[in-house]
Amino acid sequence: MNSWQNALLGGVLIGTASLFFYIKLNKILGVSGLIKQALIRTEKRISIVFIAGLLVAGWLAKSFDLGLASMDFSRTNTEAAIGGLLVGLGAALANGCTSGHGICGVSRFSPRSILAILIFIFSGAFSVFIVGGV
Amino acid sequence: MAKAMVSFLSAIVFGLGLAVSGMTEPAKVIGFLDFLGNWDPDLIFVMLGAIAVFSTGYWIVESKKDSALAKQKLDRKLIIGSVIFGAGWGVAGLCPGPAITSLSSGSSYVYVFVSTMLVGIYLPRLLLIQK
Repeated sequence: MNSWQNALLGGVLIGTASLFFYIKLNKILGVSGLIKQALIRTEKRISIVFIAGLLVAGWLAKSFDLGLASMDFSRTNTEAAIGGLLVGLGAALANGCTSGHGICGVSRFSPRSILAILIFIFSGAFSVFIVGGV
Repeated sequence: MAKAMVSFLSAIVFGLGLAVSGMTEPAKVIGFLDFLGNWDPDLIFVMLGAIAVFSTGYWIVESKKDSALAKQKLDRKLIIGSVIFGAGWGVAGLCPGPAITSLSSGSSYVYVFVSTMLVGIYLPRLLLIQK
């Protein structure tokens, strides 16, 4: 498959998972929120199990060569450290990340989420402009 | 179905979607954000695919608009947080879901990213600016 077709298929899977989560649990699937809940121990079972599921998915993807195979990082661990801190802090302050705001929020026409995802992309583009592309 | 099982199954499908889509490849994400350089638009299709499925299902289930959403404030914390998030996304090429999913790759890059991300998520609580 071409990479845009992979992207579309991946998107359909992500949307399906988010929809199933929403309908069955009546909650918005947001990864940063679930990580935070696991850290501060609210909604403990749902959040910890979700993170475990992501780890299993990663392991499956690697084992069956569905992704994670050609991990070309092209950035150093210093950039990983800085990026991780900013992503975590930003998601906590914005109350959501690419999943909760970008998929569920935008689909629900939430003004906060639409603003958030637009800023994510423009700020990300500015950051790549400064740090450099690959 | 038990709530924990729903969460677990959702996470597996969600994580496989991330891995298949290219969202777990930092170089791909950085290429997507590189509007002024060598722009790679592929990842737009991740959002399009996900939003198409979620919104169709959502609007079938919720026949009317959630009026509480429109009343939410676009506050400074949302804007500042989003700017910070985007900056980090461009620096490292990872966001929370793909980062956790990529832990299985065994790469130190991902371990470092996830470690500082956990600190970042907890920081506002530590500084007492958020519950």
